[in-house]
Amino acid sequence: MFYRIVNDQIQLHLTHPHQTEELFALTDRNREFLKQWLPWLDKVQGPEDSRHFLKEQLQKYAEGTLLTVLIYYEGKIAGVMGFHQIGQSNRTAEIGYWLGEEYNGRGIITACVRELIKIGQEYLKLQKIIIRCATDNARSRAVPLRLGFELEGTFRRAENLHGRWIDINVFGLLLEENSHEPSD
Amino acid sequence: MDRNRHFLRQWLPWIDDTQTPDDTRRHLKERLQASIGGDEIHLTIVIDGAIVGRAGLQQIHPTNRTANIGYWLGEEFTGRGIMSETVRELIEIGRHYYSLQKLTIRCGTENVKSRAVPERLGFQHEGTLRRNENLYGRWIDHEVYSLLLEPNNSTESH
Ligand SMILES: CC(C)(COP(=O)(O)OP(=O)(O)OC[C@H]1O[C@@H](n2cnc3c(N)ncnc32)[C@H](O)[C@@H]1OP(=O)(O)O)[C@@H](O)C(=O)NCCC(=O)NCCS
Ligand SMILES: CC(C)(COP(=O)(O)OP(=O)(O)OC[C@H]1O[C@@H](n2cnc3c(N)ncnc32)[C@H](O)[C@@H]1OP(=O)(O)O)[C@@H](O)C(=O)NCCC(=O)NCCS
Repeated sequence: MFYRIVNDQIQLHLTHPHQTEELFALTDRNREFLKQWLPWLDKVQGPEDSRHFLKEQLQKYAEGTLLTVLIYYEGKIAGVMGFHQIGQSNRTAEIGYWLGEEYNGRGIITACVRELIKIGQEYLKLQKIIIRCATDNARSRAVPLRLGFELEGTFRRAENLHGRWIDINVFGLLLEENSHEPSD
Repeated sequence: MDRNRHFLRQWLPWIDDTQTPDDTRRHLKERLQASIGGDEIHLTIVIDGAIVGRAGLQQIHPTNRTANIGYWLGEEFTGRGIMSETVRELIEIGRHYYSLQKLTIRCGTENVKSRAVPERLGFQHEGTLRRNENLYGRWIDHEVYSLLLEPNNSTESH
């Protein structure tokens, strides 16, 4: 399907129903790992839920409200990432991501976020990118910090994750730091 | 609203979309419908029979039990403590009717009068969101304030 090359090992593919079985298997295998930080695992019970997700994301991409891609590492699905909530008037979008545990520690997400920033700049004309992480999600927080995002705030008890209150760090990267007037 | 167009336009994004009483009628209906859905509640502030402004809870989130407070007054009704009193009441509404555990208020960094409201009521400053809004061709930073309504160590959810 349609993809963008990040490097020799990594590609970002648009979502499509043909990826259903492989995506569900990855999600299912990493259920406990991902549940530590992500709220939606209980909603993915079977391949039909993954299929619905893949279709829905493609539809919303067509509507221009988000961009979700599957991360392929050496030909296999390793995780999911994208811009959710692309704000038109403030030209701001938020990046979210996850990898299967077996793909952690190789710099995959850092390389992919770098690529997504370029896409945001070139195609979506964004002026700002946001990443939100739980304050105790050290691996996730390391990603924006590695890429020069600035910490903008700490929202206390911002989300209830499986019965536990979590605080959230908001990181922002300004892409047109020096222009003072919105240019659209 | 029409009388205060110039005053409100300094800080509110929707002024130019409100040109006629019909726009206001549509807005009031939509907000009332959203209130029925439980996502928000918008209230008109009335003093001695006259409308002086609006305030409400937006983005009421049932799992996180959070909401955001928004408000405005006609310029001639500022400087009397009306909004601080109203927000105090909204906090009670959020606590008792919506079981909220946290309230936030977001103000333009340069909107000193608006920032004074959460500061006066003991909200804590959580951060500065840079270039968060395009307000009629000018980038606005937002200060985020919040008030926790339950003891910090409580873990139960609804
Ligand atoms: C958050 C998450 C995507 C981070 O994965 P990650 O593999 O740590 O992140 P990266 O791909 O950027 O890799 C960085 C790691 O690879 C190492 N690395 C190897 N080569 C690298 C390279 N070329 N560039 C950068 N890092 C490299 C780094 O040293 C780092 O390892 P360390 O954590 O041992 O120091 C992953 O832990 C995850 O999916 N968690 C669960 C879901 C989640 O929390 N999502 C985010 C919600 S906000
Ligand atoms: C933001 C806004 C509602 C604040 O109005 P306000 O009148 O300053 O706020 P309050 O009603 O709480 O009144 C506080 C003032 O009344 C005075 N006051 C008098 N009696 C008071 C009382 N019993 N309690 C508190 N304050 C009292 C305070 O000293 C303060 O005056 P000061 O600004 O001269 O120090 C108003 O400026 C506004 O509508 N602005 C435009 C729209 C807007 O910016 N909305 C917010 C977007 S985030």
